[in-house]
Amino acid sequence: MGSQGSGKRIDALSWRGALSDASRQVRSMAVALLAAAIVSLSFSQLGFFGVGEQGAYVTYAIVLLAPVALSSLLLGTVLGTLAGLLAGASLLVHSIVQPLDFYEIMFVTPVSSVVLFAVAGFLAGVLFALGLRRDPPVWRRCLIVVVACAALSWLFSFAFRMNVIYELVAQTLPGALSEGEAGGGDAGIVANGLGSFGWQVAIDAALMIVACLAADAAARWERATAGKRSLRTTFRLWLLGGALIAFMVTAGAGFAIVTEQEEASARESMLSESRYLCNQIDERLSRQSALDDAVAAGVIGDEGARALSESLSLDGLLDGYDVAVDGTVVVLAGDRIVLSDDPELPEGGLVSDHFDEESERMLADIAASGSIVQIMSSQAESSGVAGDDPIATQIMYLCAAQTGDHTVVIVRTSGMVFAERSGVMLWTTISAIVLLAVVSVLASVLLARIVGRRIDETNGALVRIEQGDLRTRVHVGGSREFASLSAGINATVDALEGWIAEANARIDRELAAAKTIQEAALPCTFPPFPDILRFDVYASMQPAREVGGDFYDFFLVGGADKGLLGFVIADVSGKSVPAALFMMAAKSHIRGYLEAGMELGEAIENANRKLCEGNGSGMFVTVFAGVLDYRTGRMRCVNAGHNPPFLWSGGAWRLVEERSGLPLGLFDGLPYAAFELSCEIGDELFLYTDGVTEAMDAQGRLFGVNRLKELLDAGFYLHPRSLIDLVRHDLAAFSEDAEQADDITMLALEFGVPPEVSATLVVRADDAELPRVNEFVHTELDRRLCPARAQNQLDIAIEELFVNVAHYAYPNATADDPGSVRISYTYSAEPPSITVELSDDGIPFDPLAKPDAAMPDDILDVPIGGLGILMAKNSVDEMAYERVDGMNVVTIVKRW
Amino acid sequence: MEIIVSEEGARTVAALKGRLDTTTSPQLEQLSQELHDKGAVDLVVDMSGCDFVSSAGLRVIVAMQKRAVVEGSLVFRSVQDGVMDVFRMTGFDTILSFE
Repeated sequence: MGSQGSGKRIDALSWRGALSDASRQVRSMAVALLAAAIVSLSFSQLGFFGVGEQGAYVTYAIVLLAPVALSSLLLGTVLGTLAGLLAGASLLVHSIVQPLDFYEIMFVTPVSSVVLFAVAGFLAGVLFALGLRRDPPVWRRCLIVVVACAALSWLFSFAFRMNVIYELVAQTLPGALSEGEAGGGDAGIVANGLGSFGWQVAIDAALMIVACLAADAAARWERATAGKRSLRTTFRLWLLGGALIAFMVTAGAGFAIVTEQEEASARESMLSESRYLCNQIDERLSRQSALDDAVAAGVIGDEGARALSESLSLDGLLDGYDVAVDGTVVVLAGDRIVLSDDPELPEGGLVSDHFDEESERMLADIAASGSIVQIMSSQAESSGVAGDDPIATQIMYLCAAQTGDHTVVIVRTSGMVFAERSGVMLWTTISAIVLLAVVSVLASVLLARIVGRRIDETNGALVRIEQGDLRTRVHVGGSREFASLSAGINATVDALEGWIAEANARIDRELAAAKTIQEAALPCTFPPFPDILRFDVYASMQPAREVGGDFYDFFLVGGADKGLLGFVIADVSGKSVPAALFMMAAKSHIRGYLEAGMELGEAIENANRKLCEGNGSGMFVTVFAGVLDYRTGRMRCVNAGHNPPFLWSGGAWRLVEERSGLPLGLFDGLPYAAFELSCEIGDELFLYTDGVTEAMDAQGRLFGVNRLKELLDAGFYLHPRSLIDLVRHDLAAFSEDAEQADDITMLALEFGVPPEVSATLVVRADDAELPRVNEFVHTELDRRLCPARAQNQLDIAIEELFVNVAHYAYPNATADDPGSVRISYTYSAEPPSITVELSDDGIPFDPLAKPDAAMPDDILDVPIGGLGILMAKNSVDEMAYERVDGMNVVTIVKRW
Repeated sequence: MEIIVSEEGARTVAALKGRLDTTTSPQLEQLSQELHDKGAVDLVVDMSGCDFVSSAGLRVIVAMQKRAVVEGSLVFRSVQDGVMDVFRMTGFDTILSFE
């Protein structure tokens, strides 16, 4: 409820209370609270909340002030002032419409009170605005509200009193001047009617404080918890509000009906009572006169006349009347009270001792018309029933009837008239509260059972989904709404799963495309230069992720006539796409400078310079590059921070530990000096990246240089392709299921030997593809002058193995998607042989695991299944099966 | 593969030309079935033009031999060395009749 103005005065005037709050709920809450306060205080105005006999002035004078203060607190200064104006106006209307007597009119009607209420509203607004504008802590808010309300109450009571006294003086002074003492009585009565100033302030302030503190707390609570309350609390709140309104409406209606009924019956009983008394008086008086006549005529003796006269006397008329039950009943004759059941009004007393002139006139008027009026009284006549408090003011019903010179007066207090009303209302209230409590508890329990539990279940499922468990499904039933909510959530999760799968598939496709591009950038045709018979080179790269940062390269420097082979192996720091991009740059720079005819060291220096330019990401690449003069065996090399390669020379593997400098891309302008190696025929260089030596097994152990060295020792006789295959297979066996952490790249170069020739074909796993497969292999075999018989035998093996895959590897194959088979061969010239590899990614199947089909004795026993594999095995020199990366790989070797 | 059928007295001669492999063996199977249905049960298979027999071919040969054992005869003529290797390798050389 703070405000943002700069000056205090402007703050106070423009302060808009809870209505200025940003939250619509808080504003609605403020208005609702105000309405509730006004309605409930109207009840107290009706006397329902037990202001009771303690003076109607409380209900008239005070109860409107609390709503005015509340308006100022909740609605702000301007609307608070307006509310004060309305309160004053309502009092004015009240006084005009009701036929009130002098005191009452004087009490509540002065036009100035309209102004007073408005002033009260304005003052309250200003006080709250000044006190609460900085949104002080709770205890200070309470203190400010209490002080403001107390001050307001005191000021208002004082002003009200001044107002009344002014009116009193204004009206009674002229009367006092003209009529002497008579007016003084009025002044006293009015002064009595004002009641205790202390009580007035206290009750007044207490009402305001309670209302304002409650409203302030409610508004603050609403603001703090809006949107955060549990369903159950919100439900209870609405239930309570609705029940309260229903209770007030029914209680109010019941109260009005009971009041109406009791008042009507009281009127009737008082009227009939007075009529009865009048009749009795008439009868007795007329009989008395008849008796007197009879006595006068001597018809009845004195003794008898005395006895009769006693029975006809008025004296016993009020026997059996009780002032506490029947009210004050008096019979007046002339200026004397002749009969009375009220000890305060003793029989035989002078009327003028108890009634002033005005009252006597009023009594005479009422008696003349035989009617009933409602009076507000603080006079002596009521003191008998109103207790000892001399200033008690209460509403009374007065009935008077006249017969002859006798006047019958019956006065009953509102307490007597409405004796049953309190009881009825008490029971109504108790039963309503019990009903309210039962309904509230029941509704709360039902809500928790029907709604709360299901929402909790739904939320639980949502939490699991949020934590990434997209397999979670919600199955909360019990009602159409929850079933539909569950279905909605499930559909959303399904859709989400679909999206994620699609997004993953897209990323996979893109990475696969990147991998294809990268692979295309690496030379992958072996042998690369089949017509040059002075060296054999082979290389492979297995990226750790879809795209890697390793690369290898080889090319003829300056054309075939120069006899120079350039080769490179490199490892870019980092992984994935950025590494791949850096790798492409490094590869093209090195090859570009070498092909341009630059000396190796110079080419690497230039490549380094280029890579340092604009290398914001701080990447670098370790490089081992070389140029082999394959005619002489002279090899120049540069090692820029790369793993030392192995060189097979002089019957042993040794590490080439010469170094030329730091990795490329780190520092611009570094020199890289080439060193020279001299190769003999049969010498072999094995280059690798740290993905080989740092490959890990499932236990986290490294492959290591030593194991590599042992492996190379064991395969010392192997040509480049076979050597790399050996290392690759050993690595696969070593790593088993462990995830490959780094790119694995190898390059082997053997000097002085003719290259192995290889090619690969991928066909559909379909018998119809056999002719293509045959043609693919025959072309090479024919070129290599393979004898027909050997060719025939190889054909048998290839056909049997291929048919085996086509028929059994893909049990779920369809005509459209029969699966695929990759066939690759490697021709080696020394000794002439061909190695054929058939791979498929079908179900694991080892054709060699079956026992050989037995030679048939009888044609009827010939086992056709298995015969093909037997034939294949017997047709070639070597045959092996491996399951690699989910592929069945069968390798056959045929020599001639 | 090409198959030329001719009569040679009471016997029917089927001369194979080409490879008897997975793709072509159904041809021979169909032919032998037809001949059998026609009552030509005495068969001579001229292998002089056949340079290749795979297990699929052997399968057809087994079927033909089984029928011949029940009724009629089956003789293989002029088997090439390479094909004979296959027969030997699989033991068929001991079961089949040659001339």
